[in-house]
This record gives sequence, C-alpha cells and structure tokens, in this order.
Amino acid sequence: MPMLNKVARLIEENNYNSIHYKKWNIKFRDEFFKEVYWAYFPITEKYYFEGNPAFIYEFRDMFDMGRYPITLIRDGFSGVLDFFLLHPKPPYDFKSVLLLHTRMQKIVPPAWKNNVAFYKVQGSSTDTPTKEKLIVHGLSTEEYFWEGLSPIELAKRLKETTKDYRDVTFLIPQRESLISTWEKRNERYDIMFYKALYKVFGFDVKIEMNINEYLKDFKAVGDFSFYNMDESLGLIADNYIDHYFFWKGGNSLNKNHQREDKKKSLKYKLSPYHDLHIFTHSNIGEDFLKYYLPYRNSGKQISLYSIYQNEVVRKIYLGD
Amino acid sequence: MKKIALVYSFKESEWFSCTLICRNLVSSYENAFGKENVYHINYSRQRSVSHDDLKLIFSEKIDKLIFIDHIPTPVTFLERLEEVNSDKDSWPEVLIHVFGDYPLYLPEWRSVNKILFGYNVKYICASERQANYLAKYIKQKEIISISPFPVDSKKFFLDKQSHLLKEKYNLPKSSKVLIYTGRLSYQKRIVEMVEAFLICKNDNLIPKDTYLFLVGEFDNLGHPYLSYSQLQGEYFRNILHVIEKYPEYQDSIIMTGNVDNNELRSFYNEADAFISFSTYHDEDFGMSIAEALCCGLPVILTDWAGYHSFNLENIKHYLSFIPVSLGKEIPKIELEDMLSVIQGFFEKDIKRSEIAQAASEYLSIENVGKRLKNICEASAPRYKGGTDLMIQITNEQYVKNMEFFRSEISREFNQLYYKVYDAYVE
Repeated sequence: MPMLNKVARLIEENNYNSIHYKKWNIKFRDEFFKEVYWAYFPITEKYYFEGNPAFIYEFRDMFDMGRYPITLIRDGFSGVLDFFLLHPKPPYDFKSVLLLHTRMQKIVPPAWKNNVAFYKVQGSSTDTPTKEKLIVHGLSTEEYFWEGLSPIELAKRLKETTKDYRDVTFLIPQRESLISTWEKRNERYDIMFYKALYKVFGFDVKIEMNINEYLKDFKAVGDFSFYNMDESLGLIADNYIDHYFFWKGGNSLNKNHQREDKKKSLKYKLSPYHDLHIFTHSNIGEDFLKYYLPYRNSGKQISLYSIYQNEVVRKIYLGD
Repeated sequence: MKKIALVYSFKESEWFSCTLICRNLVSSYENAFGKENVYHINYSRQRSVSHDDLKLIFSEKIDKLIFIDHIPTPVTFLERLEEVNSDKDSWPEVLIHVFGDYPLYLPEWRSVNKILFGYNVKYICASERQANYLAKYIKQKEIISISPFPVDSKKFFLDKQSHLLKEKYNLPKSSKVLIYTGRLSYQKRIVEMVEAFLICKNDNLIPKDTYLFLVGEFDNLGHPYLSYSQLQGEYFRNILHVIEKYPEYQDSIIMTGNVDNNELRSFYNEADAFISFSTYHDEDFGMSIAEALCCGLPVILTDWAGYHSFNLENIKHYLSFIPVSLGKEIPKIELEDMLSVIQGFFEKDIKRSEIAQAASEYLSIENVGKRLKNICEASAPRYKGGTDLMIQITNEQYVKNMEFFRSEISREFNQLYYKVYDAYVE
C-alpha cells in the first residue's frame, strides 16, 4: 500500500512540467528511437496521462529519467528487459517510480522493488458487446510471429477469434521491421501474411493498409470490438491504437485488456470507456536471473536487437 | 430556368458537420432550381477535377458556378478552368459559400481574388457576424450575402413521443436535461461549461435532478493560432478533474460519445435545453444548434460569432445568450454570467412548438433554397478583390503558418487578431 499511496500522490501532484510529452524544451531525440517511432507509428503515438507515459529510449539516460517523478513505461518485454539488464539496480539517488505493464512483473530485478508498480489498461464497460463489427489491428512484420506461429497459423487463429462477427476489418499497414534480421526481412512476412489472410478468409476479406487515413475517417457510432494481434507485447506494451479504439468506445477482445478486479489498486479513467489500473505485485523478478546470468556470462553486447533475436529469451518469456 | 453547377468533393469531409452542410445545400439548390437544372462537379479533396466537367460548364451554358464545400478553396479549380477557357467574360457568375475556416487558407483566397478580379462574384456566409468577419478581408461588403446552412426538417423536427434518452440512461421522467452536441474540444469551453453546471447544482441554482449530456467525441485541436495543441485524452482528463471536485454530482454529467441522427433527434426532443459555451475560432454557424432548434429545443449559448444569428426575433425570449469579449489567450466569458444565464433559463416558460416553427421557417431546406435562389438572381457588381488588411494578414501567414494571429513575444493574440475577430463579438 505505501507504494500505491506514493503513486497516487505523484499522479495527483503531477503537472505539465513533469510530463515528458508536454514539455516544450525536449531537445534529445535518440536516433534509434526516432526510427522505431516512425516505423511503428501510430502505435507509438503520444497520449496524455498524468502518470507520464513514455518509451524508455525517449530519455537521454537514468539521470534524465530521474527528473520525472513518475513514468509509465510503454515499452514491451524486449525494451524493459534491455533496460533492466543494463540497470539491474537503480542508481542510489533514483527516486522516481516506473509504472510497468503487469506482464513485465517477472523480469523486474528485485533491487527495483521500491521503484516500480504495474499497470493494465481495461475497458470500463460491463455490458456484453454485440458481435457485429470487429477491427483486427497489427503489423505484418516478424515481431507478430514472435510466438512461433507461421503466417497461415496466425491467420487460422484469427479466423477462430473473428468467427462470430458479421463485419470484420483487418487494419494491417505494411511496415518494415527494425529488429528483424535481413534474412527474415527477405522472407517478406507482410506478403506471406496477406496471402494467408486471403487464403483463410477468402478474397472478400477487408484489409485496410492505410492506417492513418482509416483512423482519420473512423466514425464510431454504435458498439464495435477490436483485437490487437500482438498478444505477446514483445516490443510495445502500451499501444496507441488500442487507446484510440477505446477512446472511440470500442471493446477489446485481448486477454491483456481483460477486466480483472484487484482489491488494492488505483483506477484512473483515460476516457469515458477505458481505465488504467495500477497495482503492486509481491513476487516480482522471478525470472530476472534466468535472463541476467546467461547474458552476463555470454560476454555479448546487450541490445534490444540481440534480446529480441535470442531464442532462449523468447522461450523463457513465452514459457515454451 | 437558370442552370447551376454545384462544386464540391464527392468524398465526405473529415468534419461531420461540413459533410452534412454540403448534403443539405445540395438539397436546397435542387429544391430551388429543380434537379434537372443542377449539375454536380466533383472537386476532390486532393484538388482534382475532370477536364470533361470543366468543359461541360461551357457546353451546357451553366449560369452560376457555386462552390459549396469548405475545402479545398476554389483556387485550383479556377486555375484549371482558366486553362480550359481563358475568356473570363464567358464564365458563369461565381458564388462561394464561405465557411469558418476561411482565414486558414488566406494565401489561396488571395489567389482566388486575383483570378476573379473584375468579374461577377458573390460570397455567401451562414451568419451575420461571419459576413462582418469576411468583410474585413473583402473590399465590397455588398457582394457578401447571408443565408444559414439548411437543416433537413424531415430528420430534425418536434416529436412529442420521444422517450429514448431517459429510458436509455435510466433517468426519472421528471428529470431535466441540458444537452451539448459537437466536438469536445478546448475552444468549445466544455471545462467551463461543466464547472458552471456543477456550481449551479451545488449552489441549488437549478433543480437537483438536472443532468448535463455531452454528446460527441474528444479532439486534440487545442488552439492552433497560439500553437497550443493537446494530446489525445488530455481534454477528457481536464474535464474529469473538474467533475472530481464535485463528487456528489459526478453522475449528473453523462458522456455518450457519438450518436446517430435518429437517436439525436430523440435526444433533442427530450432534452430541456441545448447548451454551448463555445468560443471556437471559426464558429461561423452551429449546425447542431440549428438542428436542435428545429426540434423545438431552447438554447443557452455564448453570444459568439455565428451563434448570434440564432437569436431569432419571434423566439428570442426563449433563448439565452452569455456575453463574450475578446481576451488575450481565449475569448472571455464570466462565470457570473454563465451561472445567471443557466439559472435564468429554468425560470422561463417555454413553448417548444413556437421555437420549432420559427427555426424551421429560417432553416429548412426549402426556405433556405428560396433564399439562395434570391441571392443567385440578384445582380453582382464587379469584384474588386481583397482589403489591405487581408494582404497584411496573408503576409503574416506566409511566415508564421498557423500562428499568424500570435504575438511575437508571448502565447497571446497579436493586434491583427483583434482587428478581425472583433466582428465575432460586436
């Protein structure tokens, strides 16, 4: 509870000067982050919350991050693990609180216990949505097959997810992965996946590739549901497109957004239709050493790229 | 009968109200001139127009060329037309419906002035203050006519049988409802409106069982003239912080998101008043207010820009207006005025049928069609182009883009802003 009290106080006291996305004088832009930001845009688009949502690479260093009393880390597993492998314990003068996605609890080093809490985004409606309109969104890059499914297997799984819906749209922009190897890039997951969708759903399947236009013209009247193809949260845990559809009144079909009522949690409304829940976990860091020791012993340079490509890492995270 | 060509984008606008306005204007013109005399020319958002359509203007001997969409400005169309026929004396008369976003494209309007200089041109504004505003940019006020944007009175009308709103939201039949519909945006002053409403409840100035409905979606527009933009979700959180100050009444603010037109008609018919404190920088009219009035709904509005035109003579005793004056960062509305106007509204004896009738006479597709026909038939003097003030502001826009009304040294308006925007408060 003391941690939740602290988080509540920090969020309540936060003002524009403590919110990274509202600061006008940010000069630092990490080149790698810029590439990721635009490659995955609008998944990485900014949004507002007093808990200061931001990606780790948006901060220059730990000192820079420490200037913000609280930060909601939007990175997924690989970004968070990369951060903790580089910083297995917080600097002695680091007083800030990091809010991490609840799926990251196992990879938090125990030394960070007093500096982290966890979040989850949930729809606020308890009504059962009608099974009319469904939007499936995601990319067709290698990351979306990280769980080991082939394009055709993923398409089949989506067939099952979407089977009860009358009107299904696939919102799948064509993008190049920044963390694929060149061999994998040459395999053209995008083309394989589009082909798989046509094969499994037939040639009348609705595929929208221009995501910016689609979102700009999107008019939400009546209820609809959406499904984020990225269930693993390997790269990004807090996806703008999910927020966008929540903001429009949509219902998420993702496990990651499933309602879960914890007794001791903080709840913040992000829109009339969705909330952010913040809570603590007592058993953090169960898996951290599984990643940390092999990495330290391997002598390899740690990077987001190498973490993402590492088969052992993938297996531990997905629990294969 | 004269032949007219309506020029607009066949693709819907991202601004829902503009799509609606365009559709209703088409109906008004068809009503007034007969469908067979109305030609439709697609001038796409990407500024393309077919060569055949341009030639048709001359082969069919079109009398009036009427631009009815908000974007793009007519400039590219007129340039293409010049390529097809450079003898401008053989061109039809040009009429342009002006929308609130006029100042955002001043360099283009300056080019329009250049092309049309010396020829027959008329501008049509939807409200008196928008006409005064446009007169700051155009030399001849006599070529600016006023005609409200039409309302489809088959969709928005007085319907005493409506019961959807209170049923859907489980409100007691005796409860009172104030309704706002439109974008939930910084310049629409939703924060101020919600706070004034909650203070009224807290201080027992209005009945306890009064609800405020906010119908529409949030946007992040902020105030582009002052380069103040918001992030997605920011304005919602701003409103929420106000609501949290009055926990006892938080259930009396109901946000519905978008609703379709049928549902909206029902909402307007069941509500007790439409309320909007907007001081939006291009509030040239107010389509949702026009629709609400056609359903017989009284309104509580800021006396800002196009809203002023809704103060119709026969029904003005049913309508309530809050004074507005220009401010350094945003137009000023006083809390005291907001409270007294909301409180005063509940003391009025409203006859909704009178409101619906007066509004329909002013706004119906048929009646607006007649007014537009008269405008078309009136003679037009030769166009003398824009004012010096327009040149001055356009030069600023070349340099500063959207921030042409912003002071050099602070996030406040500059003198140019006051020179033109006084038309929205006088």
